[in-house]
Amino acid sequence: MEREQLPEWFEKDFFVHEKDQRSWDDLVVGEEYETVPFVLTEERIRKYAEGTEDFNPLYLDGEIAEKSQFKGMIAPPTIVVPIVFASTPPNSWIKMPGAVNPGQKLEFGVPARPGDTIYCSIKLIDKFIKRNKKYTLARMHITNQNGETVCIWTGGLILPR
Amino acid sequence: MNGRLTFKEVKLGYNLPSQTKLITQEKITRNAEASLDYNPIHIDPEYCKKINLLGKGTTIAHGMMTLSFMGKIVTDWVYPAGGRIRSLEGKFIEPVRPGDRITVFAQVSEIHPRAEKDTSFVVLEVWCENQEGKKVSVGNASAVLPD
Repeated sequence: MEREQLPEWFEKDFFVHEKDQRSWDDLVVGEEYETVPFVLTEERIRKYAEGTEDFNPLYLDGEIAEKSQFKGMIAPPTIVVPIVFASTPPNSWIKMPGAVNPGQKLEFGVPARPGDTIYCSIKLIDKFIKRNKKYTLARMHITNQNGETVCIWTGGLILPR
Repeated sequence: MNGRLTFKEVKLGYNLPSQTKLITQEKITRNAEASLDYNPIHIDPEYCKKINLLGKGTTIAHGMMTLSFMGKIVTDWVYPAGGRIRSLEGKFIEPVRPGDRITVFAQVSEIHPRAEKDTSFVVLEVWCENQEGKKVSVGNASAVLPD
C-alpha cells in the first residue's frame, strides 16, 4: 500500500506560521493561491472514515466496492477537506488560528479514488463584512490526474483579523 | 438488482432515518488528524479559553465534520440504491461543542425528473440538531438515483 506523503512544509501547529498569514485587510479579491498536488492514499481514506465515523464499505472494502456502481473503491465526498489542507501552504488564511467556518458548498463531479493525484486551484472570489465580522469567500476547483472535476467547493471563513 | 430504491419510488416529504452522533474532544481531535485541519479552535482548550471563543471559551467541532455527517445520511441512503451524491451545502449556525449529542435529519424536498437514463435527482433539506433540539446546521444535498 502506498504511503502518504505530506508536503515538507506541512505544519500541524497553525501558530508557527501565523505571522506570515496576511490579514483580511490585505487579501485582494480575484487573487489565486499556489497549491501542491496531493496523492490520495487508502491510508488517508481510512483515517478520514474513522475521523468522521463513516465506515461505508465503498470507502474501505475493495471487493464490495468492485461490485458497486463505482466499480472500485472511492473516497467519501468530504475527503476534499484533508486534500485542501494538505495542498495549501501554512501561510494561507485557510489555516489562520481562530478562523471560524460559517458554511460551505460542495458540488461533486467524479469521486476521488485511492491512488488519485488531486490538484486544487483556489481563487478568492469575495471578501465582505457582515454583522461586523470579516468573511472570505473562495472557489476551489478540485480535479484529478485525468483533468476530471472532483469537486467545486465554494466557501470561506470568518477571519479573526 | 431487485428491491433497490429507484427515483420513481421517492416521495416528496420522505424523511430519511435520522442519525445521532455523540461529540467528544477525543473525536474532534481524531477528526483534526483525519482532515488535517489542526486549527487550535478545535484542539487547543487553553487557547479557546484565552480568546473566549464564541463566548463560551471551549473548543468547537469542525464545521466540516458536521458537513460530513450531513453527507453520510445521504450517501447511506443513495449508495446502496446505486445512486450518487451530486452536491452538499451546509451553514453552521450554532457551534458544536464537546459533550453535545448531534442528530442529523434529511427530508426529500424536490424531485427533478430527467429524460436521460439515471440522471434524475432529488434535493433534500438536511440539518443537524443538538441535544436541546436546537438547530446547529442547516443545508441541503442533491443526489442522483437510478430510474
